[in-house]
Amino acid sequence: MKWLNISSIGTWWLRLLVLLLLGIPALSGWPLTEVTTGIQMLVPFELDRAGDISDLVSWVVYSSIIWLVVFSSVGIRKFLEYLAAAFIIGLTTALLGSVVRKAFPILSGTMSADEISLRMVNLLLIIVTVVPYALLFINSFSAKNIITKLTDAKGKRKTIGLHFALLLRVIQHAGEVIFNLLEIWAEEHPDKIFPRHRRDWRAKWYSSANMFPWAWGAVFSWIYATMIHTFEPIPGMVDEVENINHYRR
Amino acid sequence: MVACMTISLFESYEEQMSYFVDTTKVNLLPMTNGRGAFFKELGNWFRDYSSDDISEHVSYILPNPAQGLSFPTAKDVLSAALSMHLDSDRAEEEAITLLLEFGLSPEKAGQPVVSLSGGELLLLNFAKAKAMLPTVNRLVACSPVNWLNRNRYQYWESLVSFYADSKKNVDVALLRGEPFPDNDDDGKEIFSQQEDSRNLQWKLFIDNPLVVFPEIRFPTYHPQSCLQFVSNEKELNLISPALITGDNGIGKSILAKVMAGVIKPANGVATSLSANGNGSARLIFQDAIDQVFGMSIDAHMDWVFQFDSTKAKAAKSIYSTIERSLRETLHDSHFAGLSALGEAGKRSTLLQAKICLVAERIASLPPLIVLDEPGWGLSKSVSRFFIAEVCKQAHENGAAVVIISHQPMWWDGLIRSHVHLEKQDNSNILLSVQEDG
Repeated sequence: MKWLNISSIGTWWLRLLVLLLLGIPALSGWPLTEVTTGIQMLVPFELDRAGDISDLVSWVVYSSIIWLVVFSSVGIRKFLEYLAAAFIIGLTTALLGSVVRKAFPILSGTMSADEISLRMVNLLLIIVTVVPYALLFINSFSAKNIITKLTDAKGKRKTIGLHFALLLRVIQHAGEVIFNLLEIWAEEHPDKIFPRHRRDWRAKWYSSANMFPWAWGAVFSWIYATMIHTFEPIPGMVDEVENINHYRR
Repeated sequence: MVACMTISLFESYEEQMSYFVDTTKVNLLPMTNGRGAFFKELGNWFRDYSSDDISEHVSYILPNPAQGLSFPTAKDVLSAALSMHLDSDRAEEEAITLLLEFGLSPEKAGQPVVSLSGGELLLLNFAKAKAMLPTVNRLVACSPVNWLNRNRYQYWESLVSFYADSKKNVDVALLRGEPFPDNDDDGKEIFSQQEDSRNLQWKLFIDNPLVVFPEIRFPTYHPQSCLQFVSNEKELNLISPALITGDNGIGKSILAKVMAGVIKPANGVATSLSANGNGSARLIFQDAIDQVFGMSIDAHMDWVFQFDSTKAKAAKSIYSTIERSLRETLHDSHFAGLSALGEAGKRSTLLQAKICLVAERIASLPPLIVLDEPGWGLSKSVSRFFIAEVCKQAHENGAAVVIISHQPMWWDGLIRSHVHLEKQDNSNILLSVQEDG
């Protein structure tokens, strides 16, 4: 399956083109909507929620293609890491979405429980497809190579390009930061999803309800810590890019 | 050779960083003042930044050598620096030569920078400073050998000689008493050490833990590697505080992470037994600032103990005792290192972050607390006072203490046992108890 390996494409613009083509269904919906209609027409009998189910099937097919390409490009270990990240984000979003819709039915409008469930499953599928694709996309390009190449360019294109390269590098850096934060988190919370110190949870029968504020706080801590550690080196990175730009002119 | 080198001494990390910012005009964002302060400072930098403000191009080395490396692999870091004066193809080739020149093997070229050890990061910074030599006016180096074994000081000396030959200045910013080649100011005059008289005995169970680092195929290739810690005895009888030493990149920090349960070995174990029972150690990392997880020091303490009021009270009491004791000792010694504790009533310095992390760990009553390079960011005297206080509090609470350090002489008189790590072959690291403890 070497031909599915995106990272083996030496020319950067060809790699970009292939990745963009691969991402068209997720970005525009085409041809997923056509496939969904096709599947609906193939089903020989009346089925409740046939539209939603066909949509799910078309996303499953698309997910499989994306996963195959990601797997062939990054190897089994990285692929599983990407999937783990995608499922954590996907499950958190889908489950929270269900809870919120249950708690505030007004948000669901006239949708039935079945319809909401199917929507949430669809949302989960979209996330577990898009996240590995996005991670493959981001890491398929070297910010350093883009910066050094752009320094030979002139005018607005160069300025926009350098800003884009810097943005790419900052996003890539987020992945490196998470590696470090995971170790810090594991040291602080060996049970990973529970706090190390939780004696008060045993105080009353209802004390374990504290798990919800804890989970909420943990998600926010992660978001802030990732942002802070990702943004921290930006002034230094900008300084370095300025220098490369200045001296290669 | 050193005619162009100036050395400035500072009492605290905060003063040293302030000097760095003034000298290089490179902004450093605050990491221990909390989220609000961080984003406010980032916003200020974003608003005020102008590329026209860069008046002088300098190369620099920060106390935390991971900072200042903007690209993901060693090869990228060096080829980006070299590309300022070489064409891209030559820059790639020259990057490998530079790695070798500064004692790093070519296999390190594709390894992610985040997975390099502290010493290896410093050597990479030296190589980068050499790569930038033709384009910069001078080098500003903060604590440039702090995480380096003495047998590698030659690489620093070689870097300085390159700058001297090019008639370019080297500004070195050191914390008072910190290790540096030919540094006479070792902080001897400051104190008489107050040792903890308790002989807290503890055991390290080491059953050949094997750590496997899997192959990385993407975005760059790095082959699988293994590290096995072996010992002639499965049970090492030690007295706290113990010191762990070993060459750069040998795996001291990895062993600490295995002992703390952060890295799970593929087989074998490394656990500790002390008055608090048997189990995993608590660990303070080399770059301790990251462990406050982007929060302020107070917010971190509140977050960790939000569901354990008893331990929260204990940790706050330990924190207050250590800080008060340090303030009194430093004040009584008429010692300027007091600035490391910042203004009274405000917690925002690196030393205060370290005290917070230690207090939290002591209150969690582990068998062992491991401090990886606890002297980083502190002057020698403050480090020793700090460790002496940590040992007192840890021992009172039944926890043993281990220090990982490249500077055994720093801890003279404090250390009761010593474990040395030595490479046996490519993947085996031998742990042996030294008699000098």
